[in-house]
Amino acid sequence: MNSLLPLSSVLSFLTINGWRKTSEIRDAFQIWHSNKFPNSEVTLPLSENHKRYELLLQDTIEELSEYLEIEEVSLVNKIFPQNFDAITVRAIGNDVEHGSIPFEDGLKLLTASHKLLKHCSRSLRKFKNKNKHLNSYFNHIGMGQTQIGSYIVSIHSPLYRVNTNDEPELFENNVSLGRMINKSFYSKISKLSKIVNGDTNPEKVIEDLLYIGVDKKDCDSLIDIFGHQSHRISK
Amino acid sequence: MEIEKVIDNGVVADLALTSYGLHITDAQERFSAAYVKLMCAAAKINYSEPKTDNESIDIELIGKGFSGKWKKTRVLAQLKCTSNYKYIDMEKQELSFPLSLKNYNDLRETDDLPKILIVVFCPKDHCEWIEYSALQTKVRFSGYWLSLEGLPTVENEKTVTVKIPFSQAFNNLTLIELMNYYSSKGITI
Repeated sequence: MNSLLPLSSVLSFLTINGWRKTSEIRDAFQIWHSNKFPNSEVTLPLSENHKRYELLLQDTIEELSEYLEIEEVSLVNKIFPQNFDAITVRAIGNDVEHGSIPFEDGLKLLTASHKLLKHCSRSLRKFKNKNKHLNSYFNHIGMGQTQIGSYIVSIHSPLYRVNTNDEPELFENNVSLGRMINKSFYSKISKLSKIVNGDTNPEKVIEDLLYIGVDKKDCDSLIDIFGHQSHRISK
Repeated sequence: MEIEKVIDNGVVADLALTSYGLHITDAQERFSAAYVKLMCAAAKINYSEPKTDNESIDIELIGKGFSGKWKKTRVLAQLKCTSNYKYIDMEKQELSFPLSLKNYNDLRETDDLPKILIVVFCPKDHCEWIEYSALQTKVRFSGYWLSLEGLPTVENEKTVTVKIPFSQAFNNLTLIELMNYYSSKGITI
């Protein structure tokens, strides 16, 4: 486990899922049991600063994973939702059927996804220190594990926040810069998919694309992502 | 290299203290770990070994299904091995063992999982550690356990000699008793 989950999040998760604290031992540890799973037992320190926290937390994850039948990675995300959006870009088609993709296409898919995110971020209206914040956002962007089944690129887009006092209107309700970019990214791909799959007249397609704000740079990235064959586009 | 002559079925062989890759202290260390793992297996108690021993912990004994408040009892153990007969007092029926001050202080902590010291006493000659026959294998000699939790600080500079009564034998049965003891110590809220 790379980063430790907060103890409070683990205890909340236990409570929500029917475990209850039954004992304390040695003024340092707490024991939790579940009526639903009488053979289950979770031992955790009373403080996350305790030197056995990492060891016992790992055991707890394994225990909960076994009884709740949830994979450990998913369980960790349920206990403490990660501070990023997971964007998955899926390429489908005969040439990517077995979770493999031609190497050149794979590289294009990655760089084009990155380019499209950049383009989406730049198209946001100006705000104070925009470039500085965007640089910081892109420094924290991560690649998730490539998933099996067709070919899926996973991007971890950090929910980077900008001081809302500077731009109260743009970042209304304290929405993060990262989430705004992700929404724009998703929106573009989603609209494109609708248009391309809905009309066979090329001129009408171009007109519709321009109408929704998909410009040449977007198109270049989208072509790199999905290739020239529209059958790879997946919403 | 020290060589002892061992007579086996009338044939003299250079065996006893020959090294086949392990120094005697390394061999003793592994023997004590093997002894404890053997008892765990016989007691059907799981264990895990920390990757590094920087807190005087060599093995973690992990129980399951005990009847006390703490069903999955865990006990941390520091392992030692000695073949020094001077440490044995047959009259008092106890083993005296000089423990490093660091080990002593680590093991007397009370705000951690339960911790014990296990000392395995073995013959000096490693050929005598195991006696094998087709239907029986004997392990010599025995292991003993001691809890140092809550013991006072000491002024010693390097070592602290602890005394372990022979009654504190560490075997498959006493291991289960030990786990039961810690299992029952949970305090119900």
